[in-house]
Amino acid sequence: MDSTSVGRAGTISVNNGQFVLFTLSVSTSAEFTKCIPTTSLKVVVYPVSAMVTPIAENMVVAQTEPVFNFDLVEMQMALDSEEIPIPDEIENFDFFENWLEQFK
Amino acid sequence: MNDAGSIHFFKKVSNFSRGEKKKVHAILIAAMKGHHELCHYTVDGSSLLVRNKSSADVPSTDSQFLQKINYAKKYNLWHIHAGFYNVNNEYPIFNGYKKSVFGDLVSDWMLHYSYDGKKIYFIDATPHPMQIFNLVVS
Repeated sequence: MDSTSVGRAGTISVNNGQFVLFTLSVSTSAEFTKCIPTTSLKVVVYPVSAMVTPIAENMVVAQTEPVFNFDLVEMQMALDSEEIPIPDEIENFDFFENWLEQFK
Repeated sequence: MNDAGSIHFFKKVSNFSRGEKKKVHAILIAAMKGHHELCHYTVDGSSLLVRNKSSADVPSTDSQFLQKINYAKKYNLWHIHAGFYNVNNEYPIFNGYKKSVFGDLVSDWMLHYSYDGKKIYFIDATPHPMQIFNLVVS
């Protein structure tokens, strides 16, 4: 795929912790809507046409490589992403360094 | 104060070491003073300009020449050379830059931002070679 950008308009909904269905905005002609969380923190996305079978919680068998493999926390942050204003106080480097801690 | 950045950008910067954070910090401070400052950005020890240019400036030999130009224009993408990392001492100036054949300073890593003529919005930090389609434009 050409891009892994996540659209802001998307939302994540979890059905019993097995499937996550949402619209992922990517810069290709295809739309991928089949997403499977493999752990509580990871989401793996396969094309709709892929043969993907959940065999147990957090385990799947797929006949193709995922097109998207994303940390769920990072994905949620991207989906929720608002512009983070750069505060004037960052002119002080110590403030800047401490301010960055919130993003870890 | 209108400048901003994405969570992705700040998350990545937060994991840099202190030395790289200081270099990013200096660029952010310059950005706060306006895009003009980024276009005339210099570092201690050299009077040469640090390379800062539109990402739509794609070599004509690139196999995805038009696609990259269109992508860069769509998101108003620019990038400035960040001054790290100095691998194998190939970038000795300011411990992270070297003089390019064009007479400006380049480094291995770049900070990517969008600039619509008013606001600077930092989106990512990546090493060379730039993979423009992989930038997290959120």
